[in-house]
Amino acid sequence: MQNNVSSRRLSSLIIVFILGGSILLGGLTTVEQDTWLSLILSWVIFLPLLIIYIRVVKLHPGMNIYDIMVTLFGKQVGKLLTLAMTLYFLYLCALVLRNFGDFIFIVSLSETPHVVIMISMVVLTAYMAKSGFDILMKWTIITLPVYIFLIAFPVVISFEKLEFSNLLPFLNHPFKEIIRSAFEYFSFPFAEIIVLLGMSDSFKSIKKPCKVYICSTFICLVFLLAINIRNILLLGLPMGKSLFFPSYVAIRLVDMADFMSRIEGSVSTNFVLAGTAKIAVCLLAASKGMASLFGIGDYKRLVMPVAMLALALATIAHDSTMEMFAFLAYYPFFAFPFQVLIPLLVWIAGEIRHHRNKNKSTPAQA
Amino acid sequence: MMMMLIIILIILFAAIIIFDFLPVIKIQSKRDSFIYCALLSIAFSILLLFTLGIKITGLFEHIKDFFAVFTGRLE
Repeated sequence: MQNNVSSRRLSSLIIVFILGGSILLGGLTTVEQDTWLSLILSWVIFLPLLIIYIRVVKLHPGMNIYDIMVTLFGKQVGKLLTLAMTLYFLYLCALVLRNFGDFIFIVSLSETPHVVIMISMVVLTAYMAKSGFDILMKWTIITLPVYIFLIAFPVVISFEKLEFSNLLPFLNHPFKEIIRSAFEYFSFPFAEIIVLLGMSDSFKSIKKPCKVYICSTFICLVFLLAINIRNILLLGLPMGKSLFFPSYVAIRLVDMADFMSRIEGSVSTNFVLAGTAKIAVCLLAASKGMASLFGIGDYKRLVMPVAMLALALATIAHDSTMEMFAFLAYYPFFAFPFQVLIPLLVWIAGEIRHHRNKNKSTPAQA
Repeated sequence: MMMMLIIILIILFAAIIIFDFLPVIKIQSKRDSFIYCALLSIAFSILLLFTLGIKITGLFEHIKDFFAVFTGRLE
């Protein structure tokens, strides 16, 4: 059964998905105080890829990327590409689960084993995914205003503590380094939106997908910029570079008069809520991929085993939190085939097929 | 601690089998049930090995080695 999605719901899903993990981990890159410039550049570099994703969906309305690949490349090659994308979505699900598991472990439940924290998260997200895409969308609609408020509010009330001199000197790093940093932001979090192509069979009713995607990702850029700049201005460079979760630490410094302080608890809860949405989306996409791979009609039947697989992968993904952050340097290259090469291939094949069909129908009309 | 984690794991998978698998076992085909069980078994095996303290090399090590061969160290 296909769920028809409105533009508003899709928009809130995109915003929660992109902000979900990146706010938590988004720290300073090698370009330090010029990180905000890398962020803007990454969105600009991402736009052509986003248009390719939208075009792929437009060329094949009512189909998800797995169906598209099988249609374009045949059963064998299509299934091989489906396997590749499914494994990437599964691994992404595991990585995000591990990120949030480590976050909760470090900031609050340091005596609780990682696997227990991740079990509680994965059971919740699996239940959310099993409830269906519609429920997930409703969840994002409800949590989005709260999420945005809890992002914007600390930025506003921390204004008097901001040290604007931390942004100087401007363009202190070589442009090559800024571009490299932009590439990191390109792959995480923007290009991870490829996951939504696993559910694009539900987006048939979206009338102006370009507007929805571009506006939503632009809103995410604004929020990411606000958070990144706030972190730089509040924490400064030495502290900002050394922290695992700079956003959490920055919020700890925020207080208003004498009555509002230590708000990091409520804000971190919000982080986790957004994270569960992101994990649920990845889980849904991976379950659909598995169902497509094995020819199972109802993907919901595979949500639980796929969730457990993601949990298993999450436990062995990294040996430590430091290793998790070290992986960020490799992630853009690891994700490149799945985020860029395969969609590019699908797009080119889709355009060729579209033009062939168009040429076949034109002589008949003449 | 290890015993506690193993018990939690067994309870978790037992709950999945009871509440998720058994209600649909009569509706779905044998092939679908086999695939479900196979995926669940792989997950259970990895988690059990991890809980028992047996080191399983994660994908990160292989990714790091792959890129170290072709492009040199990125860190």
